[in-house]
Amino acid sequence: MSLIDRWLARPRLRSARQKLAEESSARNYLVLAQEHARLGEMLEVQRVCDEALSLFPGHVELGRLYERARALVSEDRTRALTRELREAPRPGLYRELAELLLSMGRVERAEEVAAEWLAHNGEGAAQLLRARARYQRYLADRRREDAKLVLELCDSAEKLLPGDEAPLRLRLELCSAIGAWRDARRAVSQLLEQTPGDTVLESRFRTLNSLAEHAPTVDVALRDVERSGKLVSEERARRPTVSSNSRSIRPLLKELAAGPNVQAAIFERGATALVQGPKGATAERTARAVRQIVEKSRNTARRLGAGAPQSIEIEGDFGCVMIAPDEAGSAALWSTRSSLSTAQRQALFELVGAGLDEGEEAAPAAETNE
Amino acid sequence: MNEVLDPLLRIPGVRCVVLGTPDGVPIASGGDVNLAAAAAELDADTGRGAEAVCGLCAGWLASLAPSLGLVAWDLPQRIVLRAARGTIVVRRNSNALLIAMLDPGAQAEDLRLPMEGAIARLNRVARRPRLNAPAPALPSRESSNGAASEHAGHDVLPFANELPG
Repeated sequence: MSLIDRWLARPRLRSARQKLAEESSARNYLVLAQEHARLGEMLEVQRVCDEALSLFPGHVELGRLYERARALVSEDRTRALTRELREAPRPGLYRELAELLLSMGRVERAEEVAAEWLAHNGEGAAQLLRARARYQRYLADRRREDAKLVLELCDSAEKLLPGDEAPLRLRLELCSAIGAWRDARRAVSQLLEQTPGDTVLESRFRTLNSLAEHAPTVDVALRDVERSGKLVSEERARRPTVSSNSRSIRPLLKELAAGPNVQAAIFERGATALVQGPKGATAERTARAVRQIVEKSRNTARRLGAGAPQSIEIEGDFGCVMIAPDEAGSAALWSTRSSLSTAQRQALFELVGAGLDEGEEAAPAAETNE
Repeated sequence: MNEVLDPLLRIPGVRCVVLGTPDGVPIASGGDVNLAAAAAELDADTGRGAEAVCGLCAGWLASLAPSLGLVAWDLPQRIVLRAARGTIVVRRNSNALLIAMLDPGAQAEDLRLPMEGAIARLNRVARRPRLNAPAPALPSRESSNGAASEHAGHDVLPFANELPG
């Protein structure tokens, strides 16, 4: 942006600040953040959005602007780091770049950077980063080959970094996620050798000790996860407990179902489904169909190497069905129109988000139809 | 098949396009079809490349049929599966599957019209008479002489009252 543009933008920025000082509404915060964005001041955008989100948590537009600014800042830093690495590589730069890429979800690139670092004498730390990147990929795809590679990389990192807790903690995380409790217990005992007396680790050891008796081996556990597509840790988090979240989801669901041409709006979590539109057995069948579609699509996406599904859209003579799946649940909307509007799509994702924000506990195990 | 697939491959963000039969046999493919991100075990299970993509997508559609049947929905004409590392768009025709895999960030909606166009072109190609068809192994009914040629005008068998005696 030229100096003249900056100079011309200054009054607008000042006016936005004054308006915000007079009335601290989400709208005014958004206007100020947008003015900063126009000037290319992404750090300022982040700062304003951060402040606004602490006052108005869950505001969609502010959240989106914050994420966009964060992504742009990260992209800039990634470019700068790549340039610096090309000129004069050093371990700190490799580490920062790989961690940045991991935080941005660019797992494959992070792994490449870690491998490059390893080739430049990165040794233990590089191996650990490779393991972390591969673990992220495993979480997305649930393929046992990935998990086996993570364990191999952890072994190698443990040898290269004796006395470092990080490889052991990663191994513990993986073994706990897949339900290989015996191996998880071994990892905790190794950690306790390094930090004797750690009360958290001791209590974890006792818990794992009680689970380890009938625990499957790593191979069996990995095979089970690959077949079902579900981690044991997710299953445990999803165990039904009494919850009140259906109270706040229902209005959103009703609002969605009241839209033009909408035949059904469905929200599922654990064994519970809230259905607006169809009644009785039809509602039950619709919810079951959505659940099965999500399961099968998740499996296909995994096998095609596309990672975790984010949305599934099905169009046919019946109209259009859009499903927004998540780890904990899914929301679906069936409309007789050939495609859904942007507002409907957004509402669907908000519905899944709302369901997840309201705590980890799942809804009652009984099927709820309306 | 280039005239069907090439326009799709020119769209930015399209990683590969595969045309296959509804039961998962690939007919033609273009772009980077290798499932680089998929596990090595795919080699053993389903193979790599167009065969794997086509087979997995056809299997996916087939597995969805019972679920869709629960609510009396027909098999879908178009499915878009947006995932963390890309998007899969499947357009189903009565006798073909057109599959496109997109890079992350690419919009499936950008492919809606081109895929419809490709399907229309595919139908045109299917209807076109085969000018350079290879010679048949057996002589056709019209050209052959003998008893059977008497009834060449009939589709299947001569009617009972036309039979001698």
